[in-house]
Amino acid sequence: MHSGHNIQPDLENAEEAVRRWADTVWRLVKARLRNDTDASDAFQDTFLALCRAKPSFESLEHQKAWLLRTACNCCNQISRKKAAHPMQSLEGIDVPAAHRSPTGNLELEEMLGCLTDAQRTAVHLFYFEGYRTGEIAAITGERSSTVRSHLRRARQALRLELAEQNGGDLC
Amino acid sequence: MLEKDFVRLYKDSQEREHAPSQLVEGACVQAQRVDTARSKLFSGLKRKMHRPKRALRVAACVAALLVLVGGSTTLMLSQSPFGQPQARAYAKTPNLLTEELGNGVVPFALDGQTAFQGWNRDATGCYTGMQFTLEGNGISRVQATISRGELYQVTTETHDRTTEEGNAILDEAVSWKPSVRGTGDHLGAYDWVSLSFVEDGLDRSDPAHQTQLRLIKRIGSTVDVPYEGEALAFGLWFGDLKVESGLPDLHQLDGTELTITAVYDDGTCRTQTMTLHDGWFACSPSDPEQGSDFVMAEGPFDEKPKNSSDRPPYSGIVNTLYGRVAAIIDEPHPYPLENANIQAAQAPVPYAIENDLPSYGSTLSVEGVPAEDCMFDAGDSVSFQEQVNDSDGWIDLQWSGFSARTTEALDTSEYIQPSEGRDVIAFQGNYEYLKRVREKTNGWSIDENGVVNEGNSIVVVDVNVTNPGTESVKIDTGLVGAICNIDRNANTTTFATPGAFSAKDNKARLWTPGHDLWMDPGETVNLQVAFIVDDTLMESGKLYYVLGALDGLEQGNLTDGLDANRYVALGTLKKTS
Repeated sequence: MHSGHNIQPDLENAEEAVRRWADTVWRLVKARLRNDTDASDAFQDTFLALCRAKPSFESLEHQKAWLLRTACNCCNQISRKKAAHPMQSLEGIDVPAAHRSPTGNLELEEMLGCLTDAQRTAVHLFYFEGYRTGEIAAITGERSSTVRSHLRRARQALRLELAEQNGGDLC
Repeated sequence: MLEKDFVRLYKDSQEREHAPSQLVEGACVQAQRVDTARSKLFSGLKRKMHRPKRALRVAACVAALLVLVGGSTTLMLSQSPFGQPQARAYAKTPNLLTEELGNGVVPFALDGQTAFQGWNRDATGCYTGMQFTLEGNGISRVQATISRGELYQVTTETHDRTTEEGNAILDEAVSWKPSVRGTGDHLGAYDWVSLSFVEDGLDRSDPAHQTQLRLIKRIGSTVDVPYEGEALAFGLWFGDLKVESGLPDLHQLDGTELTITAVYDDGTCRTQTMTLHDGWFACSPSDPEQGSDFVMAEGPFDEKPKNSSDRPPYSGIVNTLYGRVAAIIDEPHPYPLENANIQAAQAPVPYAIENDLPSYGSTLSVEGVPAEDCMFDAGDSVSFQEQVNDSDGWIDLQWSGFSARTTEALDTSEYIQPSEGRDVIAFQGNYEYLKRVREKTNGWSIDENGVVNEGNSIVVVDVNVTNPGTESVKIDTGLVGAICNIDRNANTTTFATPGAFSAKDNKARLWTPGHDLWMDPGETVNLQVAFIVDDTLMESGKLYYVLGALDGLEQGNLTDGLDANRYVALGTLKKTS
């Protein structure tokens, strides 16, 4: 990865993108799919899509968001194949976690296992990646209201208490 | 737990989570190929549909190597055994079945489209994507036996969307085509179907844009097939591989034997036996005149080279199986052929995927009942479903004027939305199959005339929705809820799992769950939301209309607490006879 004020990242270089964002993509697909096999598929599909589509990026953040959006789509495809439910939109199938992947913390594992795929995705992008609900909506292809609903319900399911009131706005 | 403590725990756990190095390296190798091709050799991932026009000068059978960059961490390079520019190292000595690197080693290339597909998805094992191709002149039959696992055959078809048939085939392949043989109207003969877009210079939206399908059928541990002048491609399938970091450990395949026999038109035979091993190979860009992107240049290495840059001028590393030729004899195939092609002979079972579908049932009972402050009467006004507009503000919609009726059938023009583009509403037009899936998973179906199947009823909830705010809002139609019964004596709440089927409003806007609807400031719309309700639930007593998202309902696992929703009494409804 390039660093230094006088070295601009090559946003067209696919290998650089892989090395720069591998952990970012892996963490999202793992959080979503909860097992290494499916996460590996989604990881590979994501970077294959990068190679195939050869998109032009304006910035590193643009590149990152594109990869995360693609990763979400890849996860949706994998989930769709598994569920094969007819009424769900192609945008995704929200199912509770069927597999657990150790995080090294049993309590955390138990908590995350209670969330649906979409809730875990929203939690990951909000709390770890630091995106706002509107940005998460752009990444996941959902409506902002849906993202906020995911976060609200996740916090209820996780039984999280706020240290101080923030007026209900999760952003 | 305090939210800040959860955030700290979660961040700590994520910081410890890293992409497996094998995956990363595999993706890098693929990316290197793209970067190099872009800058030097090719203008993109070109895929030619015709082989290089150089004539085969050998008279005997030659196995062409597919020299693809990838590894066991593949990479989905969409490189077909056919048409992809390939390096061909012609045999120095005619009559050899396979080509070598010059050291008695025959590396198996990896087809990224199929590599390790099917693993753990079903009970039928793993298609490794490791393939070899057999072709030559004067050959009448090809026989092959592998000592472990099985061989699958790979064929390809190319389609576009300029014809009705092409449209139907591609719709099936890109959407719901299951992996099990027998499923699908057009591709049911195959055990696995993958696809890749042909780089034909056309926009993806152009109907003439071509898509190549990779059609895979398991043959068996012994193959005995006629040779009809076109190259035959086979891959390795295993049902018992150990997986590490999501990918099979190739080392467990060490010692597997592959025996290939070419039977010639004159009745003579040549048989070659190879033992297979796990190894790493360095790749380097090839001369484009040779028609390939990379060639296996050096190897095998027993261990993965630290970095491709450590071995210039090589640009990539590949982990794959390779064969060492053990014997070449002019004898018939040494293994029995009585059970050859045994897997291919298995007759497809129509719509076998139904046996693999989950069955969640038409109702879901959960322990507990909603709190009293979640309960409302039909005449009440319910403030619910926080909505946001683009400014991320909060506006609660007002729901009022609830009523419900039952009906035998829905007006299909009003309630059943035709599929749009590639979106699935009716399984790409295969309505019959859609019905069977719905019946299997949730016990209901609606035919083309809008009539629900026996044992179910259609409940239409009529409600007015008002946007009381000063800004327009988008309604998430995925939150229009479900129908339930509440039994406080039994402390049980039972939901109709299908949820909302469809809806329309007084402006003739047709909804399906998950679509947006904009409401102007102060606007009131009248909604009619159609639900599929099991008759046993209909007859159980009072029904309630549930306002809420009800995540997981259709999968039989309601994830939110009961008190996250609002329950409006609809009274006792009678099934329309």
